[in-house]
Parts: sequence; structure tokens; C-alpha cells
Amino acid sequence: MSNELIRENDKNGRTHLDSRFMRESLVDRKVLSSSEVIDEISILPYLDVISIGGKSIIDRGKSAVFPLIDELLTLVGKFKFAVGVTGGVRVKHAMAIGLDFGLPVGGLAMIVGANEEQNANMMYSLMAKHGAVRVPKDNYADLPHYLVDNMIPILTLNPPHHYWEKPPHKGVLPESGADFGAYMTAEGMGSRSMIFVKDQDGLFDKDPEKHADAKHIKRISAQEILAGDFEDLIIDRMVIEMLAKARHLKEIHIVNGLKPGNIVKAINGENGGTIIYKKED
Amino acid sequence: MSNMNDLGNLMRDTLDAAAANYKHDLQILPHVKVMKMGGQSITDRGRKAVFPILDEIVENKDKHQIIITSGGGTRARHSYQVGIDLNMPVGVLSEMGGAITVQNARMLQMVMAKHGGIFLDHLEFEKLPLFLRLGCIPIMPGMPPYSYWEDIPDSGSIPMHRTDCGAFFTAEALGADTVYFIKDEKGLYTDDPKKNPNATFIPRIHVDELIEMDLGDLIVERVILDYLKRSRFVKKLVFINGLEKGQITKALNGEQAGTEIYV
Repeated sequence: MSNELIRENDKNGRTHLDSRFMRESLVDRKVLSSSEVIDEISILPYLDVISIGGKSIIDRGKSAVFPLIDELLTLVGKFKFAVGVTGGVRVKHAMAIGLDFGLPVGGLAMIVGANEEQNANMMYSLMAKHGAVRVPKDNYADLPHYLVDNMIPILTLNPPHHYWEKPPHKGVLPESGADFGAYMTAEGMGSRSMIFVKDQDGLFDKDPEKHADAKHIKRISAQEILAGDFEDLIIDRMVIEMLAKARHLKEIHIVNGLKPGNIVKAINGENGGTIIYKKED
Repeated sequence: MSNMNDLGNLMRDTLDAAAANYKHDLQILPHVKVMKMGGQSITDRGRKAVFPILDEIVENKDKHQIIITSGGGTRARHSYQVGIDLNMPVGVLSEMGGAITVQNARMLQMVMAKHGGIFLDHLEFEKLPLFLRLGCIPIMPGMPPYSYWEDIPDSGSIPMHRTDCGAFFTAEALGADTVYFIKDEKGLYTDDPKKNPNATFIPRIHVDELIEMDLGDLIVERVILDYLKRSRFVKKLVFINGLEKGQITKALNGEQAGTEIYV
């Protein structure tokens, strides 16, 4: 690569840095498709990201949270993992009030973070004596420092889109939510695994709370889910859409955190609930 | 806490009811004019291009509440090239692009300071009402704050959400109906006019028609066309040739200046 400055000869003469994108339109399809990194690096290839549901686990209090923390502590030293939390029922309440005020989607995306901050603060307080450390998004460059020391970073999961949230495809709520943020944390870092801890055994063909005959799905591709007709996915649809385009993290685990042992199984690569994977062409 | 499921269901029903009754009518600052200052097209040209444009914006500032968002430009492109060569993931490229827009916004702020130009990063977004009331011209970094959470692109590794999206989402969040893009040409052509002399100008076009044309190149980030169709408030994208004196004023006054993409 050269490092030349190039001055254009038109009357307003722009100074360009020589690069193959110089003077090109970054919207041009040919330019864009030529921009693909073939062998993208993984920033933290040893990282396991564990997402703890707010509504499914934390809102239940000690009966659900304490055994889960015990299980997480058995992983310390064997795995380098970070624990992310979501906001739970208070998020739903805040959004109901926000909708009543008529807030735009970016406004809703701006307020949802407060509840997961609360949950992160509690998880940190519970686990600090075992090496938990609260790491805000701006400090993710510090993650290796904690992980090599076998500490447990506690993260919040909603993405930092805030007022810049995209208009939703369907409905009125932000679609880039906590599940999306969790997956993108793992994908962006090039992580080893992503485990969603919920209060069901994983994915069912329909909502098992409403239908007694709902069938559990052990393993399914992201593409099959996108093509299928799932009335009520246990995980945000945006995660499935990203997974279908994944460059690093090509499968996710969903496990039931109310039953001990499933997180250990998943982090060891076994199927402790449902595995959703990217089907390669 | 055995009643957790009941509480969860109750909150879900409450949220469903709120969604069904949603009016979506809160325009936070509906009168703002969000103007994106092109990076490669304007800022990179230096004072010759930028000073007259800023003068024109200052002339209009008592009549309109103007917010400037910055572009990237040739340093962003160079960043992407080096980043791609070093096998960087998309999130890192997005961060690198964002850093250039912070640089550009800071430079524009220094030039504009004596006229009330004030640098406003994403964390200070809620201070906008104060600055606008004081007659300031807020200047924001143009890249949306997606960072590592940038979508995996449909093609290539350059982030799909860049500074056009930043301006668009800023306007949409505030409840404005138009986004203004200050560039070095008056808008959309059937091909790149800098490369193809036979390219013809398109003064006004519906977004569906533009999608239908399936152009290989566009004047605006492609994902915006889709967002424009789904947006609640932004109904029009206006492109302005900032190098031609008077065009910004015209556009701000609602007259046709360059291409308008509408929905």
C-alpha cells in the first residue's frame, strides 16, 4: 500500500489519501462486494458469552438466581466467560408507559437500558467477592485484562443504538433489543460461544405455555426458522437474521436456567436445550 | 416468587394493549433541520468549499433550527482500506469510521464557534433543546453509535450504517420530516455524473420507484431507502449542491434545490 497524498485538479481541489476506495462511491454494489474481509480476525476467540434473562431468571429472585450463580462459579478457571443481563418485566412496563406517551422508537430504545443496568448492578454485587467486575460498553477494550485473570465481566446487553434505533419491520417496539445485543457482542468479539439462559428448555414449534402439544426442537438452522412460521420465538428474530449472516459465531445455545447443569453442558459444546446454527451454502 | 409467571403475563398484556393504542405522535423537536455535511464531497475540500457553506448556514440560523452532522470522507475510506487489509471485523471498521466523523465535527465546530457552533456527542443528545434555544448550531459526529453492534453487512465488510444513516436517524428520532444532505452535486443521476457524461438528472422520485430502478450506485446509503419506507416522521431526503451559493437557503425555505427522494 502506498501512502501518497493525491490532489485533484478540479477548481475546488480535494486532497485525497490514496486508497482503493478513493473517489469511489461506498454505496456502489461492486465497490461494496469487493470490500469483504476474507479471514476476519477474532478479537477474543476464547470468550464465552452467557446471557441471563431478566424476566426469565433475575425477576424470580434468589430461588432462580442463587443456584445459577453457583453453577457459573463452577466454570471459573475452566472457561473465560462474561455474563450479560437483560432488563425483565420493568422494561415492559417502561415501554408501555413510553408508548402511551407516544415516544418514537429511538426514544423507547433510549429508556430500556436503565433496567438492565439495575440487574447488572445486582449481579455484580452478588458476585463481586467471586471476581465479578462491571464492564460498561465503552470499556470493552479492558475485557482481556479481566478475562486472563479469571474474573467475570458483567455486561448489559441492549446495543448502544439509542435514539439511532432503526424503524421496526413489524410492530412498534425496537427490534434491536437485548438478545440482538448479546449476539452481536459475541459475534463482534469473535467469541467461542453464545449461551442464552431462559426459563424454557429452548425453542418449541409453538409457545409451550399456551399449547400443551408444543414440540421441543433440539437443533435447527437459522435459515429454517426464517423460512418457517414460528408464532412466538423464544429469542428475538433479529438474532436469527444476524446468525444467518454470521461470520464468526455460527451457532447459539438456548438453555433452561431453572434446571441446573444446562449451562455447563452448553459451554462444553453439548446440547443442553436448543442449538440454532447457520447453515452454510 | 411463584407469581412471577402471572406478573410476566400481566406485563406482557399491558404492553400489548399499549402497543395497540400507540399513537406514535410525539415529535421531540419537530422543527429542526438536520443537515449532513458531506465528507468526501465537502469537508475534504477545505475552506474553499466549507467556509461559504457555513456562512450560508449562519445566515439562516435565526430563521431555522439547524443541526449539522458530519461525514467521513477520504480518511474514513483509507481507514476501511487499511482495516480490511488487516482483517478487521465489521465492528472495528464501524468504530474507525466513527472516529473520522468525530474529527470532522470537531473541526467544523472550531470554524463555527464564533457563530454558536457547538460540538454535541451522542451522549449529550438530550441537551439539544438548550443549545437550540440559545441560538447555537449543534454539530454532531455523523456515524450512528452502533460500534461493535453494527449489523453484519449483506455484502462486503464496510458498515451499512454510516453517516447518511446517522443524519436520518437523528431526524427521525426528533420527529423532523426532512433530512438535508449537503454534497458537491445536486442529487441523483441515472449514473455517476463524475464518470459518465451521459448521466441524466433525477429531480424528484418516490422511494419505491428508486428501489424499482435497482441502480448499482446511489447517492445515499442503500439501507436508508428501506428505513424511509418504515419511518414515521421522515418523509423526504433532500440533496443540495453546497458548492452553488443559495441552494441551502432555497432548500431550507422549502423550495426545490436538488433531488428529492420522498415517500
